[in-house]
Amino acid sequence: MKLMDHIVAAMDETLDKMAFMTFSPVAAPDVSASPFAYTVRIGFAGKLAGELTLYFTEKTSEGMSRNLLGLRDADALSPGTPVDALKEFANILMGRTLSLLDPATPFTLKIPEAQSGEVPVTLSGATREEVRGMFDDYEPCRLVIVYR
Amino acid sequence: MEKTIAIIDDSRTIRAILRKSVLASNVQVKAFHEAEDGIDGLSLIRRLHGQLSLIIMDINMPKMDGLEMLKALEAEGRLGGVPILVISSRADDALKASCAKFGVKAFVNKPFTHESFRSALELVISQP
Repeated sequence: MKLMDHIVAAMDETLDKMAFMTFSPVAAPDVSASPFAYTVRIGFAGKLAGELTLYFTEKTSEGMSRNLLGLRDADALSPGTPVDALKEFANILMGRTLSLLDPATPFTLKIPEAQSGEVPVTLSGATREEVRGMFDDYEPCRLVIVYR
Repeated sequence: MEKTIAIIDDSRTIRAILRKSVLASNVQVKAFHEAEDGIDGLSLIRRLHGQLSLIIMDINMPKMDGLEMLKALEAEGRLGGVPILVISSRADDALKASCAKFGVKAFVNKPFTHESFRSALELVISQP
């Protein structure tokens, strides 16, 4: 089982329990203009070490933060709330992934970092896995994990 | 009896989720006090020593992690009597054993449902 398979399983669980969204891996077509407004990256170490990079659209970041916080569409989102929500999502996702992979082995997670737009993965000499998918069947996202 | 609750987590999203979940539970809340890392958490708990009914805390935090914070509080004799509920993305036995040494009463793994958190909360609050 590839590491990305564990990530997708952890994603399903996290979205179901906390964000009330769905994620469907798809063979998404390449788009000439990147649709992604935010990139969140989280490093990890333990039995495996590397980093997970997630790419989200603006709509996903707003929808996810509303769902996590139990806010209605009409409720205002304070500045920084969507990005904070994405960072916490990455934290939960990577932690759950490593727990599913090996429940007995401790691991450490770095504090997630968020940036605007799309930031390429630069860690070299490591195994790389990628999945593209859709949140709620209409918002694209992309996950890239590199690890040793 | 109304409870004074400390929430210590670097994610304001999680702090908001926890506040909401506590307010939706059977626990009567007098006040929430929040900190976003172990150093602020340490200051908060020192300042509110004797007044806190519950500490809800994360482990993985910047500046000082949750275990380091608990170690410092134990060294100062400030851990006795205050129930502690840990919320963490780690689920390994080594962490749970470390937390138990500091008297942590309940451990909730992320991701969590409101129901699972509230069950842990009510268990911790009801213990003598």
